[in-house]
Amino acid sequence: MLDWLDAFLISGLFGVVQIIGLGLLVHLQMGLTRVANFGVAGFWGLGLYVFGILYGKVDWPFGDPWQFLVCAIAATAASALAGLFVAWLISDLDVDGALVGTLGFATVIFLLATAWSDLTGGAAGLGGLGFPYDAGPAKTNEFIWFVLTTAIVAGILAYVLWVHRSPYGRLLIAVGTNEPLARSLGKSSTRAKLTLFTITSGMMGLLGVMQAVMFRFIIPANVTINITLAALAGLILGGITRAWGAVVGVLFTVALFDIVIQFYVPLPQEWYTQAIPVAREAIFGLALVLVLLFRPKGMLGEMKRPQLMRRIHDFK
Amino acid sequence: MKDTGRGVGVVGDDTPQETAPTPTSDAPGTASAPTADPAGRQRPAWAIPLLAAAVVAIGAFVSEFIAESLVIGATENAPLVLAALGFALLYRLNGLLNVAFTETVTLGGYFAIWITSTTGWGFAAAVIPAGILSGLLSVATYLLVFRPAKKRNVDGLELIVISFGLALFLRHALQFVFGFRARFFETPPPNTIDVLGVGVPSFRLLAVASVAVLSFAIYQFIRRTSYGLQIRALASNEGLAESSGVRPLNVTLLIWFVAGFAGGLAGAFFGVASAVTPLLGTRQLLLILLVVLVGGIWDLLGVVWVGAATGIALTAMTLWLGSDLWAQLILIVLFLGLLKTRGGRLTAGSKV
Amino acid sequence: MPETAAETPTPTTAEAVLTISNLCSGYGSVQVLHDLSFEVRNEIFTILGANGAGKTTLLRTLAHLLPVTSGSIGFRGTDVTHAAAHETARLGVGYVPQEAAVFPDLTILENLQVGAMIGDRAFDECLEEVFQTFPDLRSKTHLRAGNLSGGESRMVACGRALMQDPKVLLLDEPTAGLSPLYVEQFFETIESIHRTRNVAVLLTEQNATKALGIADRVMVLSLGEGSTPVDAAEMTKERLKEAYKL
Repeated sequence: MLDWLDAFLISGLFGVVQIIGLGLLVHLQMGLTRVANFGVAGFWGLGLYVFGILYGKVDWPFGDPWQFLVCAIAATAASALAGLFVAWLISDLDVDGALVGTLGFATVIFLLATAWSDLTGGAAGLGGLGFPYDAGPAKTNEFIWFVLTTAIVAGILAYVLWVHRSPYGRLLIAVGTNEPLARSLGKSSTRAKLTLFTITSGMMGLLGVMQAVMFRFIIPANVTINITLAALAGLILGGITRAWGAVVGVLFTVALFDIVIQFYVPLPQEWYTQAIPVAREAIFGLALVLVLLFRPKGMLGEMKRPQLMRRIHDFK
Repeated sequence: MKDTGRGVGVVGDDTPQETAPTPTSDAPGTASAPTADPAGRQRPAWAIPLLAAAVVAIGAFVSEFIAESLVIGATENAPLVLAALGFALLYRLNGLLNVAFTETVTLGGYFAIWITSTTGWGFAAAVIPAGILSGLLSVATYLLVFRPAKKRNVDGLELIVISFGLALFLRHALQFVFGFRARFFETPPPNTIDVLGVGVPSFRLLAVASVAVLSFAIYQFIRRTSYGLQIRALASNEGLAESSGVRPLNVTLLIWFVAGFAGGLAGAFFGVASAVTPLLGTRQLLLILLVVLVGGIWDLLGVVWVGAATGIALTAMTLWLGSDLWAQLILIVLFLGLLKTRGGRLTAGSKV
Repeated sequence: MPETAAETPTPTTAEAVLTISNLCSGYGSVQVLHDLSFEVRNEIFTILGANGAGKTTLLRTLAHLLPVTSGSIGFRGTDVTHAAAHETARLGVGYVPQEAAVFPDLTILENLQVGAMIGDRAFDECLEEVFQTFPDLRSKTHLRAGNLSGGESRMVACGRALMQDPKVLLLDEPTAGLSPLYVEQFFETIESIHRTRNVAVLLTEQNATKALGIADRVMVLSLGEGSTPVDAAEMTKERLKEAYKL
């Protein structure tokens, strides 16, 4: 049934979907509300590790799927709480402070994952994870998991589209465009940011859970700034203020490299071990610089405010 | 007895400074109140470390642990101070939080290796040329990326993202020039010099000396020369500086060069202590940021003192806990706590 | 006293210090100034206009902090249309903006030192002149300029520009926000600067009556378009109203 798919292609597609999901969430934080978050890897990684530890290290009195569900909910909640905490930490800081706060949080998660080896397996990694079901061959299981993850990311996209149409989204845009004004109109911009970070960070944690199950093995090297920057590169290329920005942008960054070049461009075999992954990061970096210099609103262009406002009225 | 001053190294370099107008008795008081006092902004930056140095130097004789923390901390982390100093120059005098600065650090290491391996010079001889190359690289990044960005009115958040992108690009592009693997200096093992009973490799003392000389020189340059006045004027009010006759490009290029130079030196010293890898500078990013933001409560020298104190604290905790990871973790949490308690004032006060 | 001073138009006034022809300027795609042409001689030239008339835009353009869209600016016979701000400053254009007119992080003395970096005259001599013009500054040289009151920082700003030893002084609403007592004094100071130092002054004002008292010639700016400059004495209320398009 799945002959056209090989295991590598599934994991490539899975990676694309993951980055799209993260990019969509970063869009809400940085594109609409304009709160810097350079610690995406931390929120995602917290979900990854909390799930891994709970699922792999704790003796649960019940088996899957309950074991998975309980651990996944706990991991999502942990990331959501971390989001709330970090949002509080940076709530009265400027963009420089927000950078340090979010980056600091991600570094703390990375250091904990490395240093607390009793719990996390340290640099050697943490295993013992698996799919909460068994549908036959490994490839089928992975494919089902990929479909489930895609469904979650589609849900995130739906949420983002809903936010764009909702009064809540309008508040976020107001906070992002002119926070003092939003405040003077009696809106609590701090509460809006705390809510936003709690929800979006929780979703990042859930994506981390999906990652942990897919690869069944976690190492601290998964949780570096590279994942943050991959999401950011895709989002900014697509258009940071646009709901579909992350989807479009990630197709032209991560998907282009991890699927098209990996599978369909005939390049010398020895390039794949180092040259291509390194070139991938270099090009992501270059893309960030060039897009922000020459087309700062990305491929999709400026957020269409009048249209957005009209839609808000129609919605009412 | 006489060794104490030398052993403290970084702390000892204030003696030639004209401290006469600023001796102060209210050091601890001003330390807890970072509100910029109009005339005496730099006062706590001088007084607190002096006081701390005295306390700690006495401690060094009492306890081996303190002696080790001090000597190893100050010498091993001298490159961190250099890097923070360079970063702070851009941050405070050019108003730019430049994440890509860490790549001038990384490339400083690579440049030094390239120079030693192609010319056969010793490490000490390669340090300054490596710094110059990094300085030029820094100037190039300004001209090619940050100046165009400024002309296009790219602001806060986007500018930081650009600098992240540039860092990502440089960090990976350099591997196509210098190779994917870690590189090591092929210089003979350095001689070790005894400081307070702790053996210190000679290159580390060179690093400490560089910190002392460079921070002193930069401070004097910025505070006392006409060029320094132009730099501060430009940082304080750009349009007004221009319409007062300050040539912005000259002044800005100078800042970027000096910052890159400091970064390049830091990279060479980091590299010779272990290895030169693409992640050499990036690994220091968060510590540099924290030192610059917290040290920025005072003037540029505040960054030097906070950097030195951070290095010593890091070593002390590493020795105590037996793990540098936990030491870093505790330090980051402490700094983040400080960031929160100081609130917006901390970052606002650190500009200029 | 000001009467007699105004009586004696110096013979040099005929030569233009600043020549503005068909000047257009603005911010990005928004054009603010439309086809302005006038010249400033060795005189006090006052530009009157309401809020948003383009006064600040005009002075920022003349200080070369905003690019010229079209038209030209001449300074003492040379074309400086596309010169950089620091170049015109070195030629002798002193600019005192209405807002952010000092270096807040520098001391008063350092503010004045920045001004003195260009100009050929000895620093101490210039400094003494500035202190004579603004005696209040003498005792405060080590205060941070960012902590000064509105009037004091206006003095520092003017002092800084004077340290440049300029040939023309661009003053953007120099008395805006000052208490009435200060306003009177400040206009007198401006007048004495013009008389004693032989500096042309181009100043913008909202307050017509006060500014007319010291001006040699007046132009009214309205929505980015300028009236024909006339002698201040000829500027009657009726003409003023007409120029304001009231």
